[in-house]
Amino acid sequence: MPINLKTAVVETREQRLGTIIGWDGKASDLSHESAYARGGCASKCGPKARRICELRGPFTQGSICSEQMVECQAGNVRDAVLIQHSPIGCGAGQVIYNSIFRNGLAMRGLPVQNLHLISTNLREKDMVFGGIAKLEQTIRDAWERHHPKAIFIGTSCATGIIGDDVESVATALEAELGIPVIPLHCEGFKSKHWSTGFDATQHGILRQIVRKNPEKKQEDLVNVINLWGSDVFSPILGELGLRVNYVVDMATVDELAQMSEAAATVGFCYTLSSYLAAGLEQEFGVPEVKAPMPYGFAGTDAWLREIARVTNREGKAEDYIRNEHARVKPKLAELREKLKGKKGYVATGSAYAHGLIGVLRELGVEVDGSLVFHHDPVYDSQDPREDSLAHLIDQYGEVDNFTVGNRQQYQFFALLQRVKPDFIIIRHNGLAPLAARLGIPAIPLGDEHHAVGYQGMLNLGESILDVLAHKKYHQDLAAHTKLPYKKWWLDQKDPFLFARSV
Amino acid sequence: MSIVETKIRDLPPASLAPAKTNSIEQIRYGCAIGALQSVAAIPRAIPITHCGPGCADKQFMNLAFYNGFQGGGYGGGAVVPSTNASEREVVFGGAERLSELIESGLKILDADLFVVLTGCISDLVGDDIGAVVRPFQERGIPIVYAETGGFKGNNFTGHELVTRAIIDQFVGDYAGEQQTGVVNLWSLLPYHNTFWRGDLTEIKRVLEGAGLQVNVLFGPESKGVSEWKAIPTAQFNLVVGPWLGLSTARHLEHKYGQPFLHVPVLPIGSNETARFLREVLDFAGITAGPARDKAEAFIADEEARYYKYLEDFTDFYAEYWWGLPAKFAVIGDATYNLALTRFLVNQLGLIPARQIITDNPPDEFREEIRAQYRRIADDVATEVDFEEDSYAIHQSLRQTDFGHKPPIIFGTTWERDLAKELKGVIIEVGFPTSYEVVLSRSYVGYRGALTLLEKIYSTIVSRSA
Amino acid sequence: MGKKTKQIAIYGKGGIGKSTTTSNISAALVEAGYKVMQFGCDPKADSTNTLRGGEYIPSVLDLLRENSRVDAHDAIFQGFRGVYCVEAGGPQPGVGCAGRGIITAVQLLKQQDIFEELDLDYVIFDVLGDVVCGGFAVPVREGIAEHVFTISSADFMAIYAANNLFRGIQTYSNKGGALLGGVIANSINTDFHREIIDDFVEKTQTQVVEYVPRSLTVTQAELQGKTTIEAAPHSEQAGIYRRLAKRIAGHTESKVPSPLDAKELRAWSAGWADQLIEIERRSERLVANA
Ligand SMILES: Nc1ncnc2c1ncn2[C@@H]1O[C@H](COP(=O)(O)OP(=O)(O)O)[C@@H](O)[C@H]1O
Ligand code: SF4
Ligand SMILES: [Mg+2]
Repeated sequence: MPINLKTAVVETREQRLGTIIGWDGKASDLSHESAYARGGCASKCGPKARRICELRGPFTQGSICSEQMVECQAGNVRDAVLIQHSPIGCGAGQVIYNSIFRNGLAMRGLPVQNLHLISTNLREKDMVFGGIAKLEQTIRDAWERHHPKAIFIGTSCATGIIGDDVESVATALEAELGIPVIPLHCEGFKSKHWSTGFDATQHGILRQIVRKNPEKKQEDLVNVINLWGSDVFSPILGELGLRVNYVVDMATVDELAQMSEAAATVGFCYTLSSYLAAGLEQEFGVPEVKAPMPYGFAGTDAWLREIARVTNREGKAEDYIRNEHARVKPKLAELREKLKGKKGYVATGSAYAHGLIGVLRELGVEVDGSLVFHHDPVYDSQDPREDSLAHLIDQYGEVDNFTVGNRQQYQFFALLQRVKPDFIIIRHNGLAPLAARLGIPAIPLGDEHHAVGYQGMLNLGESILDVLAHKKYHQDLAAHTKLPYKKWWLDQKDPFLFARSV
Repeated sequence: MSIVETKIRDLPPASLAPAKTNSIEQIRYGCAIGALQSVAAIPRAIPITHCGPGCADKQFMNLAFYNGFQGGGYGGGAVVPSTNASEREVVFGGAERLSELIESGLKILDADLFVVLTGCISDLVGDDIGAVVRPFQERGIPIVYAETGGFKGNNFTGHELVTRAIIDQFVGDYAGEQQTGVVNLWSLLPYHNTFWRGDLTEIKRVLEGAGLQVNVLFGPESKGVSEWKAIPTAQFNLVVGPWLGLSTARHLEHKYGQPFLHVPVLPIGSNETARFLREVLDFAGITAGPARDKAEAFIADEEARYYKYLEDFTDFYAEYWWGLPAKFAVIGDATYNLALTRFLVNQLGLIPARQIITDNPPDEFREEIRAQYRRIADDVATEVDFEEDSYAIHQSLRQTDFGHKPPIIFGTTWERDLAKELKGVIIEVGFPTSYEVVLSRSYVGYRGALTLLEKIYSTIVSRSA
Repeated sequence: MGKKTKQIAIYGKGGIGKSTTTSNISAALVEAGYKVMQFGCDPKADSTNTLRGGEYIPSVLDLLRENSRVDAHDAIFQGFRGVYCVEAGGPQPGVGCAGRGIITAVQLLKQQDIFEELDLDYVIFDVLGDVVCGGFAVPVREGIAEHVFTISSADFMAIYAANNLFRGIQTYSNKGGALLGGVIANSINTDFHREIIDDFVEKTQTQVVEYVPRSLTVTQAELQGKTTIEAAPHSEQAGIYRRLAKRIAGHTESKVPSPLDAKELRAWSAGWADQLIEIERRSERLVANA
């Protein structure tokens, strides 16, 4: 059974998919070790997950937790409240996600507001006597203050350990208040990779918000699973006569509920969309568009054609594809000329990196190294058309230095030394400062849609040119800073020196 | 008879005021492990965290990044080692994992001091951290530990726990002489206070201008661990602010027999700074003679420069056609709140409409803090509220009478929309300040006060058209 | 598929006979043709030993410690007549968090839909102790066990533990948690023992499901690594276990108990202690007079 909505607690990525966070080698080898290439394996693997040998070492730097991803998804639903059932520290995330939420709303032309996150603010006493009474109080506060359309409850390490029975309170108050009250189990310690937090949010939404037996179908509505990115999908899908239903961030509860009425679900990154898209198909019969992701010509062509096929709009897609190729190609040629001889490095989430490397290769930028923050050997649908890594290798060839690591800055120095790029593309804080201190400028991809589609290739090309100009700043800085690592370590060639295969 | 009549505020009738609950919406501090940034504030010190995978990132990103975009520092931010504790460390305990993290970290990281901080997980399952850290200490490695599980309190609490851990486990015992004229400074909470770097720099500058030698301990002006090692040799401890640092000073008094001076008001502007310096000089025993003369000369010199600028500013302040705000509110931690309120009332003659302290000072200090506001100027008394929940804070601001002019709100990013709603002006001065980029800017002392004036009135003027 | 698995939790203080009794219930139920899983929730991980010839099995948490992903099937072992045996396991005493361990282990099996897949009729949780923390309460919470039984002897410490459990049940009862089926009275060999237990269940408004005497047959079976049902199928004790199993299998209506508060409990036990001393005195006198 691919997705189990019967239990309130989502199954972690490592359990479901065999996700790893430490690996080093050639992209083709990783692809080969992953499920799509290997197919079913004997006994050790679950129904879906595949076991890839993983590198694990004693030294690790702070990662990111699932609860943070719940904050940035469930916490960004416009007319809902997210309660953080935790000591105050987990609530610190409200600051960053508020800033991102506000700027995202502004970029999307929606009314700017602060997010609605409330901490139950648990103290020592609550660790001993349980935090349930406070949770109940905070649910009531949330209701009285905001009259939200739904209340999410994110759990934390502390409440997971003391074993607070969040479900019971949620069930009782859901009945009393008449709105969905949705526990999201996202204890940081539960999963080694934060993307489980995406799944936790989506699990809760599938269980308690998505309309069960939709009366109507909206045959021109497409669910687009994204974050805060600018609205690039409406113009593209508009060409096919389709409307966009952006989820989860910045959506309303009703927009989440209507996902079951849509004609299809697409994403820009399978890391993010895997669970929700598969769940919508399995439980509500909304087809997930199974195609390469919309990056570069081949990916975007195939992605559009598959959307068109699923929504019966084949003819329109072909016109659009033809026109866009004609429009973009000359400009792309100019950019290729300017970017000749440049080398890039991609350090982002897993599937997203697969897409971006493709775009860089379209731009004629050399990429012989990449760091992805985790690797899913398979996505929830298990459909080989979603095998984004294989698509990259088939279309654009090998990536010699392909590394999986959950944002470990201490390894990044050696990784960059291996390939000496002119610039890096980064999403998630923490690595860019190190690159900067080596004199390498970084493109922080705040708008995750920046490189999507045909226009995305041009966008990214322009951004690279902008950032290459920053080089002066970074080189100057490099001459004046010292890294917090021992020289002995910086001299090591192998970033996984201390690790062993498990 | 008072010149400024501070009205007894129209508090909402009790039935309308929401009862105080445990809920905190739009947080204004992190948790105890947030003190990892206090470690990062010590040059060449690195925190080692034993906690869930999100804790270190969360505290850093929010305290140090989306708060003035300060950056993580040498050993903070993404550098911070963490056990990233998983289910395994929860169920079976995480002591071994921590031990291997420290051992390997020593090979990789280049630091003069390591501070182990624990999170909720370790403190709940009861890992014996002392037993993990002690063998390293016995090997002569500069490493200490503090138990900073999030449920123990906020990052102010964590800061004091970390400070104490370093003093007790690293600085150690001392029975030697104390050096006249040397002072340890305990004041702003690093990183949490958006302007701490510039502010500590200015405080150090004026104290040194007055002839003292300052162990500033945190920030770019600190000499790092050697300064910490020198703590016991100082003549006395200086606590600047209503409460933070007092427990450290008391501990040092007990431990090294060092006296301490508590100055509740962080000085902003010439008058406050001069008063501050004289109080410190008196306490240091520099009451007369050439040393005092030199200090007085410094004060006079700073004062002259300050008033030259203020004179020029007067043209604007007296003549600006389009109106300037008269009433203000300050929403912030006790230290900045009190300092700003005093400056705005005494220097600019603004009228305090609402003051809310948001850092949850321990109860024992609250009466004294209230008293400070009741004598905010010779002729002005005001009341102060203690509240950490932004919903309650915003309700209270909505119910405040700001008179006929748009108010000016000294607050945080959380007040941006509210300021618009009240048709007022927002100056982000505290955590979280997500819409300012702050490097060395300071709002205190002589120089900082002028910067503050620039900031306030540029914000107002830029809204004119 | 389609049938509903009946889930039962058996609680009691350490050493009171939970595992012995639970294993005999499981054995009796498989013998009667049901598909049964016994799920040990005790860090000692010895709940199912007598169902498997005295052998220890690797626990769910052992597997979790060694592997990054755990296939629940690796933690399921079959024993006497195909009974499924699972041990949650847990940390060494003094470290980590045993309660969390139970949460983890139970969730793992649920997420992998094991109970449905094995088409079980009964899952019996053998849970340590009075409800000490949230983790140990997991089996009584909504969606897991529907019925809880507690094992107690006439010993006051055991009764304290039972009373504590009743309080846990009361807490969860209005939130859809499990209700109390009754008390399994273990090691009841005298009328006096019986009176104490009877009085306790009356005060707390529950019932005794079965009186199980202390018996050498049990000890002998255990020495062979077997349940009494397996080792001495025709013994009287086996008969008692079968009757108990049948009652538990047929049990449908559980209730919210009325635990005694601390003061009541103290008063209650003091009352019985006085009687006990009286009885002892009398028997001493008898001995002296003899
Ligand atoms: N009715 C009984 N007759 C004889 N011995 C018993 C009886 N019940 C339990 N025991 C013995 O008591 C000891 C503890 O029992 P066990 O089931 O392991 O307790 P628990 O699981 O509650 O810790 C075992 O040696 C067991 O054989
Ligand atoms: S790892 Fe745990 S304690 Fe830390 S921020 Fe995440 S949920 Fe909170
Ligand atoms: Mg047992």
